[in-house]
Amino acid sequence: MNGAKNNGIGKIIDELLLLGEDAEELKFWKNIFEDLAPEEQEKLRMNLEEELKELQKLRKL
Amino acid sequence: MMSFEKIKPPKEIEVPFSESIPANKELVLTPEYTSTMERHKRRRLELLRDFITSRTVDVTLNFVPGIDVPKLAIEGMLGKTLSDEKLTSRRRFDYMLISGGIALSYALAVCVTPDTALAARGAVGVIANVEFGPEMMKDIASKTKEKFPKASAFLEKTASYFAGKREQFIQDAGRIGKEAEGYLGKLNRKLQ
Repeated sequence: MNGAKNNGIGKIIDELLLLGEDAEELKFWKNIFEDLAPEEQEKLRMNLEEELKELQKLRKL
Repeated sequence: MMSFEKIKPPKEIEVPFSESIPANKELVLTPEYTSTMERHKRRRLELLRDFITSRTVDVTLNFVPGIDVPKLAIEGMLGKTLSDEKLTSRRRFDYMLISGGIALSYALAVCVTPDTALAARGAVGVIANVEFGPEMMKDIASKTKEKFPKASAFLEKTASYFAGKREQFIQDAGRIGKEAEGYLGKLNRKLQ
């Protein structure tokens, strides 16, 4: 997977996978990311970041 | 008219249908944890629907100005997938990608051919009546790469996602294709 090419989305996805997210679905998003428009990339990035924060918080409880 | 000949797929190992595949199987998932994941997955499904709709509409409006049927047809197909509570989140994601891939393939097949009405009839046949597999999706993406780079790139990645799940794709696409026929037929009539 091209983590560096994906402006940080690769790192977020890797962390989500460690937290139990669906590898196949997230691999699709990682592959498609560079073909999305900037505003689409932003929406997806926000979604993934929010999920990561919430899951990390729940793991610490 | 472009030809979308049936390509014999390379011999592939059949991959059984898989539910969500968490990379970390040692995690104990509480209901709150699972529902948080589901909420974000659902939001991503909505994004996926919007991304597919936007690309399909871009393609069709580019060729047939003012026509709104493709948008309605795609929203109908994708909206039904989104609201089907019987599907697990993984199935819903795959269904959305297959439905979107069919819609996008159809739009691209119609829009790169010189005679729109003739192409529409041909494309309905292509989508609904032959075994529509990821390799055909890839073929359409490749033939439309220059004219519609954004849409074809999306289609190509969608085809790659299903490359290892061909049997599942064919089964689902057959079912979805029958439904799609009704929606796509509306576009066909409008073009004639």
